[in-house]
Amino acid sequence: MTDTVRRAQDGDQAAFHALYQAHVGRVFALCLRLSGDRGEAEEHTQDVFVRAWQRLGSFRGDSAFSTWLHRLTVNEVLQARRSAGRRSNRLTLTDDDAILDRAVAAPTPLAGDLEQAIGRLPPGARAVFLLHDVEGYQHDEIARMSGIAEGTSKAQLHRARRLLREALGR
Amino acid sequence: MNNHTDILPLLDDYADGGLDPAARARVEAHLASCAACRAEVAALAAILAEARALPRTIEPGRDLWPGIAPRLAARPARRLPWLQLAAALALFAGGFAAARLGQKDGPPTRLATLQAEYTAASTELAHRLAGGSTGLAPETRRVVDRNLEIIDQAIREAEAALAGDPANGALEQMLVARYEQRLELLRRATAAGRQES
Repeated sequence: MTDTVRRAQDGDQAAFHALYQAHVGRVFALCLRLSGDRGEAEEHTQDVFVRAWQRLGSFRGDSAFSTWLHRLTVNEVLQARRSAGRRSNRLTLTDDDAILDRAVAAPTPLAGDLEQAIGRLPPGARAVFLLHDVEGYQHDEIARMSGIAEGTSKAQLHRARRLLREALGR
Repeated sequence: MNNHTDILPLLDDYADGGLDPAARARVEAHLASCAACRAEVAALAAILAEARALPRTIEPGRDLWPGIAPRLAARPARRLPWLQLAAALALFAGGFAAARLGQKDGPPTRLATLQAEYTAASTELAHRLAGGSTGLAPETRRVVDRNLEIIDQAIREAEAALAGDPANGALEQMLVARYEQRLELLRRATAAGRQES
């Protein structure tokens, strides 16, 4: 465990700021790819670091801090998506609520054909593709983190790859 | 039989190196004689190589720390969880949750955790909205304000009901849903403001 992590665990916010500066690019990249939206990614990134601060005490140094933070990020974004997906107990808001969705329907800010094609994947397929093919997680890990069956993870990956090939004309 | 239909479902696992030796041999025997499947595997391999080569870091367009620092408690939660939680809850208007927490020895309930998160995030986002710094168009802002009123009224009603019936799980679930809905609306509003400005 590095001295910076240890000092942050002892409540040193300056040390935690240094950890933020060292890792924000990695966390933001993951949040941006998983959410497909820069505004959401910024919110997720802030939530991840607040959660990391709250949970620093549980980090024992068994893995690298970056690995711990990476997994925390995945869990945080997927949990937020699950929460946002629960709509059974919701108020009906004004009919023109969709104005917000129209306002945020901007082109994906990521560069590159593959990045843009990933950004256009359906959320479930996008998450599995990113976690498996970009981040290197196995299906059993993805299933645990996402709360889906391992078979669903494999099916989503197959779907994502097929959609990407179609989108890229390959 | 190693026909096209049998082999196609195996190509994903083949590309991942996840097939057992027998299945792998079947696929390779088929690939030797099927140009379409060879093209399929080559295209897949190219996408996977490109995916693995994607940059691991992307810097956000602005400094996100100002939205983080005010939300950090004086200490991470491991040493004084109840004191810290109580401080967060003190910011929240409803006093019933603190009373409920005081009766329990276990970990914070989902309601208590959400209330603390709700207080911090909601305050920050509402402050941005109230300050007029969101860049929302007047029509969008009008819709947001009206929907916030609807949700706030529902939150007040749920809190009042739960205060009278603290053990009612359905009421608690309803209140949690309202918190989440308010946070989501504020997040969407600030995201929309960034696009409209």
